[in-house]
This record gives sequence, structure tokens and C-alpha cells, in this order.
Amino acid sequence: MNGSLQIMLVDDEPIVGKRLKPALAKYGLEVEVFEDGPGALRRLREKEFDIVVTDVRMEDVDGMQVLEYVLANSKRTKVIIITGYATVEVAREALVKGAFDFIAKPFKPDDLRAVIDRAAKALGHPGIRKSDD
Amino acid sequence: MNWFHRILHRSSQREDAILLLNLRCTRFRQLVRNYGKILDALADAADKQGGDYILDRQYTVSLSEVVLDLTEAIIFDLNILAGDRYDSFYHLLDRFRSEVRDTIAMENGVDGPPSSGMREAAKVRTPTSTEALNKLAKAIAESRVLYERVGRVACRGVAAGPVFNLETEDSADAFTEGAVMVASDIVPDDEFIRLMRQASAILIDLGEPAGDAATLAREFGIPTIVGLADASKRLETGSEVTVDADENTVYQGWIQELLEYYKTERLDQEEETEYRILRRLRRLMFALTLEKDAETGAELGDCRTLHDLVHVAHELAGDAQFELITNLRDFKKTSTNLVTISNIPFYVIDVGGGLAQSDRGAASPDVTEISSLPMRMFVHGMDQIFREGPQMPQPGVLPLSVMATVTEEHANMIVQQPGGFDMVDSMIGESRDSNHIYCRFASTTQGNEDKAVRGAVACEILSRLDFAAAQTTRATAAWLSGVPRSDMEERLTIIGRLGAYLLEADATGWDGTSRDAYVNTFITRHV
Repeated sequence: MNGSLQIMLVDDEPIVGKRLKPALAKYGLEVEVFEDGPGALRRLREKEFDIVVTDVRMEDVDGMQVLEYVLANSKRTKVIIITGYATVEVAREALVKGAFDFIAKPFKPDDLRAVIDRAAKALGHPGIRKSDD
Repeated sequence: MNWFHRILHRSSQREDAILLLNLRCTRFRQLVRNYGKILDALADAADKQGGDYILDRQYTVSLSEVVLDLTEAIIFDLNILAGDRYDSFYHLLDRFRSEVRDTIAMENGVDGPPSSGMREAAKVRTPTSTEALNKLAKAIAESRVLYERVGRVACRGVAAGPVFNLETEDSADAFTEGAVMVASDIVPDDEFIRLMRQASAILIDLGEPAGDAATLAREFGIPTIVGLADASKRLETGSEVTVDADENTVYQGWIQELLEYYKTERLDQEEETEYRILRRLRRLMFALTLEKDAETGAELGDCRTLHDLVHVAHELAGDAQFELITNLRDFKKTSTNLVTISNIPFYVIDVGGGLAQSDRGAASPDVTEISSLPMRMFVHGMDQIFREGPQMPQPGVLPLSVMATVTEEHANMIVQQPGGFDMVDSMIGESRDSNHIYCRFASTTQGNEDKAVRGAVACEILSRLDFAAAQTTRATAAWLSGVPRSDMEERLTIIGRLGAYLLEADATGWDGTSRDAYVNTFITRHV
């Protein structure tokens, strides 16, 4: 598996998508950003992503529902949960359900890239970290 | 305080008095721990303000609520220590609480989360040019990384240019618009500000995101990374670098693809509501504006920020602790242990395992009998300086004494000196989470015309030792926590050396023009 990693990023805080998309895309990742759960679910019905990065706390459809949908419909897709400042317990619950890993805000883009890198390698992809090239 | 003094003089209740003293020390320790947590929060918020984090609104909300709660706890403890003399502090806290919450609500109202109807439209589009992205990824992968997450981002942004190394150039005349300024340290004077405004990016060996240079860099929006340790030694004038302060990375050479990409894709920090809220909150809460006369100290009416309020509260608690301890003058003759080190009398009150000798009040113990780890480390450091110095402290030259209230893992030490007092409160045990060093050094000494030089020197040294430090004209206060036992021991020995170093300078007189020299001498010789 050597093509561009297909990443879905779901967070209802606009800042997260706006900051993370360029931070990931500049390392060759193809990123689609959604600011709501229903929009993300619609897209998931159309396309299988390698990695889904989703905030856990959102209106309408939350990150746990996104996780459950992915687990039920795409066994190979890795899900990374983003948690808010004080929702680490929820993230642990997500791990038990089958999330690949979680990352707590505030975080640095490189922190997320490190987690994505591990998820990519778990999928058989060579990874994205410069140091591993 | 009289009630306490009376109890101490009733010999039958001496054990009760020791217990009460222990409780007071525990209360004070709790207060300084909360004060330290606020200093940590201040440093953390400055780090976040640098811009290389993904923030969310919850961070600023939680940050402000945590700091408000800590402040309330400090005021509560102050009133217990000082006999409910400071009830009015609660009123000011309520005012600040309202202002903080209004600030958050106002910013959220201006640019709140999009409604669900807007969200689909707000979806960020995928890049149209995969080719450009691939080119960028290739350029980054092929570039030599000079620094990656070594320093700390003081201001986010991306820029490239030729290096101008201030340390190796005799004159700044050749500094050109768009150069990347490289320096060991920064004194933000007029010349520096002039050059800074022409720089495309700034790289500094020392410094903190909360420092003056970092604050100015953010003010001018210049990508800046501080704390790189050796940039001024590695980067030669004229060599080209690309500074990616969004990623805390410096590349060799000029990466045009990166500059172009950021030009179209990234947001300015000021466009981000989260950063705007954080900046407003930091001004409202964390600025330290106290400028009162050193002799009288600041008062409640001088407090314009939450940090001012907390600082005054913690100083008053320290004063109450000092008052309590000095009231024990008679008591110390009978129930304290006198340990003489470098001619300095240490009056030690053991409230639980602080001295190896169990018979409190018996003959003077030897220094080797100090089993309180924090006191032993502090004393060791102080003794090193005085033994190396030109002469041992003589009564009349350094008319001081040290009052120490100790347990095996904790020590509260008050160093009486001509201009007031210095204080160290430290806990050192196996659990790094409960380890801390709090210290407070008077900013001036008696008869010292160079106002606050002493405090400025202490503040700079403590900052370089990774303490969170705050300075007013009255005192410098500093805090370090969460460090493993062996590191704490080393730091506390250095604090002992610092205490002695300041006392020696007190004796010889301070030269207000030599602040940097005092700092560099100490760092070179004693750290």
C-alpha cells in the first residue's frame, strides 16, 4: 500500500479542520474535512477512507456514532478519536469499542501526525514521518 | 497571632503548639501549591498563545475556570492564615470572574459555532491540485531539518530568508529587510525593536513564550521560535533558512513550495476566535501590573488583573507565615534546635522526622543530623557558596538567621536578612507529583538604591532554571513542581547557592547597572 493516505477529519470546531488540513496535506495526505457528523456519515457511505479522525463531542451525530458506523461498515479503516479538554474518559471508552487511538486537545499537528503514522503502518502503508523515510 | 504565642508559652501544651504549627505550614504549603499551579497555567497559556497548537474553545473555558477556582482557594487559605483579615479579596475575585465570563461569552457570540444549516456550506474543500501537494511533500522530505521541536514557538507563521546572526556581527547596520534574526538572547530595547520589525522571522537560543521578546514578536506577528539553545552558534549570517513556526521546525535553504502553500491555505492567527479569546483572557487574567513601592508592597486597590490579586494574596500569606515564625523568638530557645552552618544560625522546629535526633530541644544537633531532605539540600548549597567565598558570614556583616520548620520530606525556611526576608518552601519525596519548590526573594535590600535589582537577578536566574517566576518591586516569587526526586535535590541545592549568592551581594552592595553580570556569574560558577 503506497498511494496517498485518504483521511477524513470530522470536528465541529471549524478551527480544527482549518488548521489540520494544511498540516496534513503538506505531507502528502489527502484530507477531507467535515464540521458535522451527518455530513461525514453521508460521505462515508460513498467512500472508504484509510483513516477517520473524529472529535468525540459533536451535536446531532457524535464521534462515538461515527466510530460505530465505521466499525460496522469498513473493517480496515482506522478511527482516531479527538477529545476535548476534559473528556479523556470518553476516549477510553472509544478505545474499548475499537478506536485505534485518541488524542486530547489542545495538541500540536505533529502529535496527530505521529498517531496517523502509526495507523498508516498498521494498514501496511509506509507511513508519513520524515524520520522514517 | 497572640493566641498562638500564648499556647507556645504554656509548656504543657507545647505538643499542641507543634501540631498547630504543622497545620499552619500545611495550609501555607497548600496555598503556594495553588499559586504555583496558576504560574504553571500562565506559562502553559503563553505556550499555547505561540500558536502551534490546535486549540478549541473548551481549552480557554477550562483554563479560566481552573484559574478562578485556584484563586478562590488561595483567598480562602489566606484568610485562615491571616485571621479573616482579607474578606474583601472575594469581592474583587467576583468582579474578575464576571469579566472573564463576559469576555468568553462576547467572543463566542461574535463568531460562534456555525448553525447546522451553515455547516455543509462551511465544509473545507479538498485541494484542487494534487500535483502541487505532491511537489510540496517532496520538497519537505528532501529538505535538511536544522531544528525540529527543539525550541518553543513564540509566534506562529512561516518565513524564509538569509540569516543575520546578531552574535557574530559587530554592527547591525547590514541587517536587511526580510532577514531571519538569530540571537542568543534578547533585550527588547529600541534597537532590537527596530530590527525586529524588519525581520521575517526570529530564532533565539534562550527565552520563553511568556518572555518580553516573545510577547513583542506576537504583537508584530513575526514567526518566532525561542529556546533553540545553539542557533546563534550554528547559523551563519548569509545562510538561508526556512522557518516553519507552525510546526516548530527550521529547514536549511529556501522552500518556496512551503511559503506558497501557507500563503493560500493557512489562517492568520488573529482570524482564529480561539486565539483571540485566549489573548484577551491572558491580558485580563495573567498580566502582572503591580508597581508599588517596595517598602509598602502592593494593596488590593492596585490589583488590575487576576494575577495581581493572586500575587498580593500569596505575598500576604508569606508575610503571615513570617510573622508567625518571628513570634516564636522566645519559643525557639526551648523547643527549637540550633544548627550553625557557615556561622549562620538555623533555628529548626522539627514537626515530624525532620531531625535524626528525636529529643527536640536537646543539645544543638550537628548538620549531619538534618534528616529533612529539602533542608539538607538547601543548607548544602548555601554552605558551598559561603565556604568558597572570600570570607565566612560574620555577625554584623550578614545579620541573619534562618527559621526552618521541617518534616522528613518538607521544609519551610525563612531567611531573615537586613531588607526583609527570603523564603523557600519545598517538598521532596518519591512521588514527583507532590514535589515542589516555592521560593520568594526580596527584590531589594536595606539601603539599596538600585530598586529591585536583587529581585530582577533572582527572577532571571530562576527562569533559566525552568522555574515559573514572577517579579514585582517587592519580591520575586518562583515555582517548580512535578520533577523527580533527584532533580529536585539538585535544584534545591542550586536554590541554596542562590540564596547565599544574593546575601553576599547584599553585604557588598548591589550595582544596578550589572544585572546581566550578576546573572551570568551565577550561572557560570554555580549551576
